[in-house]
Amino acid sequence: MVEVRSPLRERITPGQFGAPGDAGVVLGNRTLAGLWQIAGWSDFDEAADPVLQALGLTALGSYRQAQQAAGVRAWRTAPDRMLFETPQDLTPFNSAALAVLDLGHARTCITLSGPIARDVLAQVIAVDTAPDVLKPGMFLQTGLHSVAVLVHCTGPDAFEILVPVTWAESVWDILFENALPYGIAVREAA
Amino acid sequence: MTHYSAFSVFRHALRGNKTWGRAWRDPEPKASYDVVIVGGGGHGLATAYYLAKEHGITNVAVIEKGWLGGGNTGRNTTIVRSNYMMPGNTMFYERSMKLWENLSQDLNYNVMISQRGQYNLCHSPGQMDAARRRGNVMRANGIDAELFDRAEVRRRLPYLDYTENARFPIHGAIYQSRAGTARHDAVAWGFARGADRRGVDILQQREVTGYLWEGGRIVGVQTNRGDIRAGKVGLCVAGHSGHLARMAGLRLPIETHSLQAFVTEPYKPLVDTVISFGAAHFYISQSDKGGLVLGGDLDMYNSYAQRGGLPIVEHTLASAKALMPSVSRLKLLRHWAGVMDMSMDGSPFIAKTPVDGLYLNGGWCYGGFKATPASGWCFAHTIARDAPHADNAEFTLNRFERGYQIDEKGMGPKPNAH
Amino acid sequence: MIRINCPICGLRSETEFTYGEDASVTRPAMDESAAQPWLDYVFNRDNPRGWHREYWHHAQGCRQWLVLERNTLTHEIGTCRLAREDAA
Repeated sequence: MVEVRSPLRERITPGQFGAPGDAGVVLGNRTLAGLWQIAGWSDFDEAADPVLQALGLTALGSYRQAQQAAGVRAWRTAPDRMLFETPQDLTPFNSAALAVLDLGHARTCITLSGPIARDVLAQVIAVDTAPDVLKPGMFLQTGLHSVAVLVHCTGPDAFEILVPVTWAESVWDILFENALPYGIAVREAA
Repeated sequence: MTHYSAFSVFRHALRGNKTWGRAWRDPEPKASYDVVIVGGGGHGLATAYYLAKEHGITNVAVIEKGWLGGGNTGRNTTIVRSNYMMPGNTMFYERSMKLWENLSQDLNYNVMISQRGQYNLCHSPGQMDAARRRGNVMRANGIDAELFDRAEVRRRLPYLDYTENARFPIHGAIYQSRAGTARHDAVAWGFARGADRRGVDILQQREVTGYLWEGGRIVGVQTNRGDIRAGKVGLCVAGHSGHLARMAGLRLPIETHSLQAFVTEPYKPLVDTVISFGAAHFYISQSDKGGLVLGGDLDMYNSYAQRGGLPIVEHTLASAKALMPSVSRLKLLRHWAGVMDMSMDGSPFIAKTPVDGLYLNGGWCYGGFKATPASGWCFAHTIARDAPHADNAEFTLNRFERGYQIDEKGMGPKPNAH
Repeated sequence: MIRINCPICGLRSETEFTYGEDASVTRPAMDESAAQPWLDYVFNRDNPRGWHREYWHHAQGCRQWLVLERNTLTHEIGTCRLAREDAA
């Protein structure tokens, strides 16, 4: 069995860093259960239907709100493209009308939470992260330190950031640097 | 008009400097001229000067919509060099370099040409090979070029980043010692004064709004202050070439883009040469007032605004810091932008147009300042003789349809990539 | 700073986008044998000093191609549509 190693293995040292006292920010690296992208053409709505059914979802969803079902999380990233976090192998759905791509090895998930998490995020992405704008369950795709990322709000003070593995260390470093003045707690991978 | 000399400076100083005359007149326009040059920047004024000096054509007007030299001539980063590799470019820029070397004497106006050298840094073995090739093309054409290794660059420019894990390690550089800088405003003023002395009328605050036609031939210009007839009309309005060409029914292989430039607070003498970064589009020198003069990438989208956006400010200063880490401690004093005629192969046009009576000098991308003397010289020749000189023979409008692009960067028909 | 109203992602900073090219030129049919339409498409541009139709790519967002109307003198942004809807 091939052991999947995190691209952040040289960055994750559990402990407290930066300003003393209660950590304003908790940083971590969650192992993804599997990440799949499906993309299609003008008939994407029909072509994607079998995949949705297999995952227990009923619709493609909006460009703002993530979907959650048993064992699966879904993001509609473009009119003819969807992203799923699921352990299910979606390769059999590959067809002339639907391109299925395994991104499990290509993205890593940085978790960012704590009372100052929103402010730190606001320092590195040029979109509004205010609590009444970026609410739990919502997501957005944007540039963070010139890297294309997907930011998913998982709770009032919690976010997950899907980052291309090539740039994972660079994104981790910029978050870390910006969070130091508030105190950082680094947790082991969940 | 006074001939400038040490003697005249002394003489006028004794009179409290109150007796200097105008450097150029502000005449009322005539009804017609043999040649009308549209655009009172360095190129337009140089063209008028050489028309008078080389061809005895003095019944000339230069029409400028603003104040002379207020366009790109006043906005560039003053670099002068002749290190182009492609046939068509090499000898044109060397003609310009040779004219620069004697320009102050020729114009009787100090253009402050400072041949302080120019380095093009290389950051990989591949770049060193490309530099070697460029240098050999230059030397084969009698132009000075030297190739330096890392140790030699470090000896000469110790303030760059030579750390072991530098993001863009310096492998070496190609260097032209005759290259350098010149005072951009002075070039416009010097050519203006020289042209005016020979009888050229310089008409400022006058904008061309259309052309006068007789059949299919252009016989003059319409301006916001009246019509002026002309035997020939030459356009020297880089940045607005497309705008003026449209009035003649022409579409050009040019897009107008914004290029920003910056000056820092004055600082003690540090950078005594011109340095071009090889890992990003960025160049730096130090003015005689002490400020570092820097520039870099286009803003990347079409713009006539003469001001750029903050993303490129950040990008350019990041390049500055990558090249010369100590620059981060300086404050920026000023920043501005010019309007670039970005052509479809990165090279200029000095040519007749398909319209009778209309001649075009444009498409200079962001490299027009160094070309100022030769551009004026060649354009004057093209207008006077109704045919190009050998040095601008390749700068045609129709080179694209013939497949004779002059593409130094090899980027193809993408204007903002050149 | 230019802000672009992406139909998918909302109002975003220009830094998320890459400028494409002039969207006002028409690609000739593949069997067009005359040279001039191809020259006009590949090389010649209106290059207006004013409103301009152009392609932008939302590279760090939804990665869709957009057609923007933007004023090249004032940088004011007009409409912004998905390129596929603009072509229809």
